[in-house]
Amino acid sequence: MNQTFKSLTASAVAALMLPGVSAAAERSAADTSSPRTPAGWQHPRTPWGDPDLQGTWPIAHLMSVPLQRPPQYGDRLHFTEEELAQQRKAIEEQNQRYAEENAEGRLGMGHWVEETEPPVQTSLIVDPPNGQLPPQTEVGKQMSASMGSDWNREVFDSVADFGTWNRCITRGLPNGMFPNPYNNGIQILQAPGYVVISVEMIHESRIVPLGGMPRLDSEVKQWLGSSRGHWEGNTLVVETTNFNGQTSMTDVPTRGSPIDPRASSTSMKIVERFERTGDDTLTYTVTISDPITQTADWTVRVPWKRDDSYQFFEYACHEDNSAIRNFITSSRAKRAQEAAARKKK
Amino acid sequence: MHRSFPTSPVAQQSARGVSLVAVLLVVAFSARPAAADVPRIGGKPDLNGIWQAMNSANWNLEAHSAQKIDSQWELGALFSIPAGKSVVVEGRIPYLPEALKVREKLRAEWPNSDPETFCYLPGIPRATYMPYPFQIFQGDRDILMVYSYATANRTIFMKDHQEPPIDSWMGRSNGHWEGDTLVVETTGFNGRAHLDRAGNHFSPALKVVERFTMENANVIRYEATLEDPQTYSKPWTIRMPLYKHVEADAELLEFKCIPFSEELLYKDLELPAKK
Repeated sequence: MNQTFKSLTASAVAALMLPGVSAAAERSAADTSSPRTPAGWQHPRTPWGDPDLQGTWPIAHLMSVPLQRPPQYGDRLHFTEEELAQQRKAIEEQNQRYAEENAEGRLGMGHWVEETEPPVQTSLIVDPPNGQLPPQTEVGKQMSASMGSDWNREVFDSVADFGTWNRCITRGLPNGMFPNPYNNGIQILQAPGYVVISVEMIHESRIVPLGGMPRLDSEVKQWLGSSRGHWEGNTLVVETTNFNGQTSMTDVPTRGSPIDPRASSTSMKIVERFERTGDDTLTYTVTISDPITQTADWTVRVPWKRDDSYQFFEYACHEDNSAIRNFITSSRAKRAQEAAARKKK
Repeated sequence: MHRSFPTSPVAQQSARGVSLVAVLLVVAFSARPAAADVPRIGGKPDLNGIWQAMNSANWNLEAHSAQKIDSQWELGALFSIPAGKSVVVEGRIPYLPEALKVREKLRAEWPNSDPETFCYLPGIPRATYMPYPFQIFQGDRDILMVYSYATANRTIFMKDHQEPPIDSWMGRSNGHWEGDTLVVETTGFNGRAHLDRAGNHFSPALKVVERFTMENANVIRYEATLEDPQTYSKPWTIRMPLYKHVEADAELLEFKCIPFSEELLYKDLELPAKK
């Protein structure tokens, strides 16, 4: 976690200089055009000739960007200079308070998610243009209501009452590619015929075969689906299907997410685009389709920043997962208390 | 190619004769250059591919008979132990007396003593010879190994050779090339992973030195030397071939086993069936 915070601080200044931010007002929310690359910049290539996207692209700088847009910004994706100045001021003041508390030796757990830079845009979602998740279908609503989550209930009887992240299985997709309060490392590594996207959380490596590998038989369902990739110019396009339909598309730790899980079905398909725009910048776009559970597709587009000094830590979560047991035994204890109270009456 | 892995005569000999034979074999095989016709990338042997051990080392690194697992009687012949020769070059693991007692205790308490039962991270070297494939990615940077089991993975750091910042299940792997052999040194273990289903174990002091040498396009000669003065009286080595999945559409499939372990882990919390 210290590492995360350190890299956050280090990258704070860099974020303010991102071209996307200064050009903010000119671009509308639904703008899907490519950000301009620096003049004369040559896209790096691997020795075997593929566009080179390799490096560590931690997304801690996106932690303060909500998935869904606060309503006051309407269809606007980018902040005005005035709004940015206000946010910077607020963060400075907050950090000043933290520094004072720290000096007095009373910095508490409430500060373990600290912001060191203003959000780079008003929401992760760029389409629909209002930055909101599209409505779910009736089936989608029913499926979501039956999903486990520790955010929207107080009584836990079995593992089925928990989300897949509580159980340390996976954050799922697309959620696993969205910012989280910690362990935000994402790393891209390439070998001939492959791109591998490793996410720090739950130690997952998403293997993307390039070229003509046939689709995986639809009978095989996986938590992270099965990916196939191809190049459109220098942009890596990854299509992922074969999901097992047991993950939530969103989760509360990504700011601005709904409190309830958002079910995915085995029909979910996500299409991701990785477009490098400079030595240290990449635009990541993901579109989520699932006609069973939602009435329209939605798209997240965010700037990534390379930071090869960021180090992954092993996220061995299941190995010491005491939360499941503690939640369930707490529920039992609470029930026993309530039963005892009823008896007294 | 099986001539290259002469573990069987070693395993069959008495413990006294073993060490001399083993030393001779190690010398003989270390000195032998890798095949010249292996595929290459960046001038080095190309280890890219999906690989898997084909032996019963995960059941027991040492020689063992086929056996019934008493606690798994309901599964009949489906889940019982296949016989295997020792993959330990020295035949037996040179445990210190106390550590041997621990091994016997862990073995007696299997399967509940085994982290694999609960889908915990496999550690090194066990990840290599579990009964699931793993994929090696080798481009122009670090080398990545991705395991089907538990979606475990590890980076082999080829340049940034750091001391591990913290202990972990998988340790930290620093790699370099010695001629045509990829040599990987892994330390920083938390000591909680095991070596097999037979209670073979190590402590956080473990240092593993693995050697990946391509025998030909489809076979890697894999060796791992384990040094752990808290557990073993001297370093010892396992050796086995790893075979490539040669199907054109070979794909590493997920084995996310946490859901398979949860009923066992939380059995005692099960609510009585509702009427």
